[in-house]
Amino acid sequence: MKKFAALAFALALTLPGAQAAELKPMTPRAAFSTLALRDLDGKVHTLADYKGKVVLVNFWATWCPPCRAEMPSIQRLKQRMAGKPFVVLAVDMAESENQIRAFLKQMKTAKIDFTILRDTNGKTLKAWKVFVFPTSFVLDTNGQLRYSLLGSTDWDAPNTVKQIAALLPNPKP
Amino acid sequence: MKALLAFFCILAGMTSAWAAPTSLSINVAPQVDVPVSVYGASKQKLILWLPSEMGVVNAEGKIAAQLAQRGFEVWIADLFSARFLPVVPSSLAKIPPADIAQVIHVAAQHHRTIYLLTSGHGAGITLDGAREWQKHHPTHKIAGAILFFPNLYAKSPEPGESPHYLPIATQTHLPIVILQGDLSPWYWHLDEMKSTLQKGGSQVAIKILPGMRDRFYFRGDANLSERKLGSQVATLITDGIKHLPAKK
Repeated sequence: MKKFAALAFALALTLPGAQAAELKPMTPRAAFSTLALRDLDGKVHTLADYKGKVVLVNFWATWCPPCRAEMPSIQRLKQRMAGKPFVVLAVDMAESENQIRAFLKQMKTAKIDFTILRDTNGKTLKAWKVFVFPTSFVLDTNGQLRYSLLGSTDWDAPNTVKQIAALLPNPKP
Repeated sequence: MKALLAFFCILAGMTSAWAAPTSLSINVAPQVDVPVSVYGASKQKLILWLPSEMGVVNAEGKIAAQLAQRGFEVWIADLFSARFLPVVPSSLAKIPPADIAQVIHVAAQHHRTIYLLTSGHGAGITLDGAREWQKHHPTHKIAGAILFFPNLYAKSPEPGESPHYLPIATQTHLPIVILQGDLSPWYWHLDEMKSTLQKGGSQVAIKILPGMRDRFYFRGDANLSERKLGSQVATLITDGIKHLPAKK
């Protein structure tokens, strides 16, 4: 019984996403100021670069099983939003470029091509007050924080797509 | 709490530290007995290992046996079983600090030096229990607490919000060593946890475990380096004891 409970708990920790968690509305407010990070090619990205777009900011790491599990669904969400002002910024926590590239290679069937940024010193994680991986934020086209999510989800689940699409200028998924 | 003490030691023919542990049952309340697995025998140094939200895990028995070989006596107290609680995080809140205080009380009668050891969410109840015992025993004998990847948050901090710590985080007055892997979001917030613990008068030392995730020594998906360090946890604990800050 005890072993079963421990196993169930471990599974709950490592396999969320089986049931899509709902995005939690936030009181609209300006995004945390600090986000100026380099992608895998060294290009610096800031939120100002994405004004006019809905932005999904996802904090993750390759060693985090739930983070890995939700990556394909983030890619599917991106594909569903193709042609719409929507962008994904996946902020990796302090891993090397090689580690991240190796992970992407492992995930090649998911064809992940959204932007991956590197928070090499934890400054962004601290500024955004992230205490759990994965943690995500959704910003509207004005750069206001609108939703957050603690843990992973199925990002292309109908309800999640609906919530995000409602932030688009023409709110249709 | 005082009159309810019953102390039954069942000798199990322990001839070496690698033998099966002996069992102890500590009465902490009417009809509540905490089963304790005892490894080794030392009147000097006792490590009291209290469970996390994962309960007592198998790996801990092996580590306790290794510690026994190094001259420690180790008690693994199954606080969940004592109250027939399921091994889930919410059960921790149902364990009264007095249960732990009573276990410490019994330990203190037989041992000169007591170290508390726990992990994860077990940190909150362990420190609560220590404080409860210290209240009644101001000349305390607790030499310190070794906390693996401690979680002292009152609840999972909401994204973008400042965390709320358990009240005990600012009420504890103990030498503490935190052992934390750097593959964890908590790693990045260690300074804040340290300063929070210091508010109660605790002296806090931090030991970083490079390349380790939380629960590394009992993860089902442990990788090679986690399994390697997982086999050296007894050393991490004894080193942690050496690095316990001196009492003020």
